[in-house]
Amino acid sequence: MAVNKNTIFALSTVAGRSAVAVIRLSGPEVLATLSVLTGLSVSEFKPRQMFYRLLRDQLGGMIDRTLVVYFPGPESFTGEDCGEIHCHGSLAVIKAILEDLSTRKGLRPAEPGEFSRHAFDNNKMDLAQIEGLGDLINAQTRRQLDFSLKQIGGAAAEKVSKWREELIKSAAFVEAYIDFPDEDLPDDLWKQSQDQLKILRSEFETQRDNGRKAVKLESGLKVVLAGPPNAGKSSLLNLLAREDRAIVSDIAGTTRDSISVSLELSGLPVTLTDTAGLRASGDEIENLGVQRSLDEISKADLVLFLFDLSDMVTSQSAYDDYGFFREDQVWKVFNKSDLSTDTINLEFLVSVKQGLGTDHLLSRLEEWVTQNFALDGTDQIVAKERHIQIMNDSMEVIDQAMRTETPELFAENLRQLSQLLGRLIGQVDVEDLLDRIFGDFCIGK
Amino acid sequence: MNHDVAYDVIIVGGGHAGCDAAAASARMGAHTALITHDLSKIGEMSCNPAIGGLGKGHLVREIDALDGLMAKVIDQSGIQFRMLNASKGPAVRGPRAQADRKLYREAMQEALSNVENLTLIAGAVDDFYFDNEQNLRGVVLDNGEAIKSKTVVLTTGTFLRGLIHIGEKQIPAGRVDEAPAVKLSERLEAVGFAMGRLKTGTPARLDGRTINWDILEAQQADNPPVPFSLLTSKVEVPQIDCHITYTNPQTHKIISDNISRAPLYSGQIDGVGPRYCPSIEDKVVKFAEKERHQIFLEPEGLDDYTVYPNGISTSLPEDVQEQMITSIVGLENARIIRPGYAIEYDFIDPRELLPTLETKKLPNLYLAGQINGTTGYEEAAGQGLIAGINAALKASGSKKDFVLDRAEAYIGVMIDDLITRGANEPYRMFTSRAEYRLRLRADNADLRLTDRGIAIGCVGKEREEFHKTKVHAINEAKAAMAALTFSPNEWSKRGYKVNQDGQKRSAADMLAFPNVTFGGLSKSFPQLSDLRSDVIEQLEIDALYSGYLGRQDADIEALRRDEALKLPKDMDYSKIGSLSNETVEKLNAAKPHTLGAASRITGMTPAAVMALLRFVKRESGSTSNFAA
Repeated sequence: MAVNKNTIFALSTVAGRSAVAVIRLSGPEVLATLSVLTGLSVSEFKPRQMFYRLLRDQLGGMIDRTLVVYFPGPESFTGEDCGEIHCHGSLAVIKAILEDLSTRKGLRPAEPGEFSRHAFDNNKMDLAQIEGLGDLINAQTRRQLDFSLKQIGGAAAEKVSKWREELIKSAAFVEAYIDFPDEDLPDDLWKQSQDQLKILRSEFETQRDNGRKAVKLESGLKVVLAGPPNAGKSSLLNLLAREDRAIVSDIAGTTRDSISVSLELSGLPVTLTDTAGLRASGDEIENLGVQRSLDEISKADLVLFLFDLSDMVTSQSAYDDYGFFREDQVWKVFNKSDLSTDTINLEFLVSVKQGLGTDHLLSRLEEWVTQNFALDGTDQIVAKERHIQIMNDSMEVIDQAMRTETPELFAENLRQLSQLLGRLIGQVDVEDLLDRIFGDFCIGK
Repeated sequence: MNHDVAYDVIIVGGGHAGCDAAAASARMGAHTALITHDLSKIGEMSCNPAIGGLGKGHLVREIDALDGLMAKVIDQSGIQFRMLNASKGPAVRGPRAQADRKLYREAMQEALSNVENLTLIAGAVDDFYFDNEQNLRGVVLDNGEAIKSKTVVLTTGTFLRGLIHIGEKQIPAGRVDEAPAVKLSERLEAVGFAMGRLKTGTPARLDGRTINWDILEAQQADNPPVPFSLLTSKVEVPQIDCHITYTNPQTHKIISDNISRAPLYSGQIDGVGPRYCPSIEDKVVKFAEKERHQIFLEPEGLDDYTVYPNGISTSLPEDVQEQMITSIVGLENARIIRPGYAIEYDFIDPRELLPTLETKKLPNLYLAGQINGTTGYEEAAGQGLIAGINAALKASGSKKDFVLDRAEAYIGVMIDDLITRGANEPYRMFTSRAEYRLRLRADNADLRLTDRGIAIGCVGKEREEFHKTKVHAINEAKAAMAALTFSPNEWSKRGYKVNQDGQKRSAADMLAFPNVTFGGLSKSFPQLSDLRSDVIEQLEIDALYSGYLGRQDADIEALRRDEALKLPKDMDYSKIGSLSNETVEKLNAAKPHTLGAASRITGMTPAAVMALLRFVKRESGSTSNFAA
């Protein structure tokens, strides 16, 4: 039975240029909508079969030649009637189709995650699956995909069950200490419980730190090109992105707004942002551009600051004026080596124009990405902001437990801890504790 | 006596569940009859002669708070009172007492004889009596006589098809030398109740005159003994020592050599025994690496030389029992008065019950005690109390019921556990079962429950007076503490170190600091100096746990919100698509009455609870849409 009355739609491939884009629809109006768009009658729409059709908008104008497929509910992703339009990946085409859909009656754009929620409402998946799937859908590159497949496939499960085991042991030992005072038990049960908890805490800390990297992966790394006007930032961007995205000219200050491209370095997603040149100017628009550049720089994981070797005075003063970068966050890149006669020994000496030294820069960038953001080990569980929050909260509860002076307050903190961790490792029940207690200790008269 | 009168409530069984069920029902004003096969056995302690402990002591205090009998009776018969965990925090302290078995029985019989509205009837119940509409309206004795009533509480303990095992010997019995209830068990089966079989055991009883006490480690009673009941001002019974000895490798060898003759290992016993109360043969097999097991030698009475060796319950053959016992230090010459035995008995899956302990299948029938798969006198009495109150309410035609929730009482935790999760092994209370342990303390059972008892009508005048006076004194003390609210500066002037954060603090807030004591405060403020000691105790404990108790409030609110979401009684859980077969089975077995209860069924994931919630909401949502 469908719970949701609306028909929703959304672009379900990554926004941006691609060969093919997929627009997905779900809800009671799907079949009717597809029928109108494609000119195929409702009865002609065989389920789960691709139709190659020309889409027309409501005025009869042609939009695109597309592949269209219809999945009747409940045997569909969301459990409702679903449809997919596979169109060409041009922004204009995508925009035209989405606009057309949004003007049709009973249809509205999906909110983020709404497809999954419909699926959940119709009992198509559990929460954990949905969370994993969210990552899968968002995955832009190979590395990220590994990550979410792991979650869906249940890898790192060993880690999860180890945590669970450790938590149960810690809780069971202190509960035994509380509940069986007359029994012949080891004297140091509470201490053992505390030791166990310390181990757990250090694991959480590692996971939290790695988790931050993982979250970073999700949003992608941000590398910003900065420097004085006409230092060749836009040219470098084009070169690194291997396409002409930024307008390049010899006129200083050509770039007045920030331009970003997505690329993949060492298998990880990186956003490269070109910014307006940094200089004090009377031009209001250009000043606005400088302000934007500074915003971008503040958000960057790495700044490539370009020096123009043909005008080192201007470059150096731009660096000094705006030189508030952290050491580990900025690389000085000296461009226009072709125009300079100095053969100074600099790490990043390039000529963007002639393609000199840029390979070295690229490979160092890839190294940097790997070193700082690649995850080693396969047991990383924490990969979301929410999970990082859980780790932080858990560590706080553990610290609080360690400060308690009576076992029942210590145990109370453990109870809170198992509630906090429930979403990661499953609920820990009193029966789990009793199993452990009676398995480990001979109790009872 | 004319048995043809119609009673409001009939209680079947005179054990610990039966006694408190009968007394509670009668206190409620119901015309009550307690029927048991032998009136002289009322209040018998068939297993170890002790009341209380961790969790169990809490239960007894709760029974007392609702004016039940168990606490008062043990106060008149306890021969060694000890507060367990005295060195740990107040929430996990549990009162416990060794009982003089005879004194306990006598005190219980005396207490029952003083209960108004209660008739004691000797007889064996074989069947239920049904009226013309097939409503359960009483019981039928083995002589064919029907005794009519509006409701019936069954508290038959281990008597349902009881079977005693001593080595290869098998004797049908409810207790030693007492016939089992076979026909009643068959009737319950015929009704269609889901039933199972459990097992429990008891050690041999020893002749104390043949024990070499001098070489054994002694354990003393607390001095002064702390009574269980608030209405007991002082324990008058003389206090004695218990002694401790241990098994040894020789004992273990005797057991291992004869393990094939142990009914537990020969396949003779099917019933599931409790993990926390293993027989000595279980201990030796499962914990082979342990070199010794502790035995408490508990005298059964002041003028009774019988000794209960707590820790070596067994169903080994008599000759092996003798070898085993004489291998133990101090027991070399001990004479066995009666061999230990295991007993198997039928129980009814407690998921057949409503929270009032009325059965779902057979209205007017209530069950309490071991018949519900529990073990322990205290667990039994707690259920008896609730069943007695509810049976009386129903008999009076009232629409009210009396249910305690998990945030109110251990009794609530126990009954909720039973009716939602069933019993895979005999159910015993542990404090770890209570989520709100810091709140559910032995010291505040009265403050949690007595007002509820007064409101429903199960609390007598004497306790009501006592309670109102105490609550008044606590409220006055709290007001006095609140009136003493000062700025950090003002506190400093009085000699208290406080963060200079501008935050005003009351004397109660100050008491929460580890270095502030009530004694200190009362020196600074004479108005606090003549408070009752039980009032001061409450103020101190509140302060100790204040940070944690506050945090639990939100949890409790959520609990009660889920408890308010009633699930339809006839719900078919297989209709909810996303649940696993196992979960569906459990839900269909328990038919939880609320969403909260559903969420506590073992194996329920948050996703499953959400699916359930959505399903129920959707169903009820569509109905209301339809209506509109």
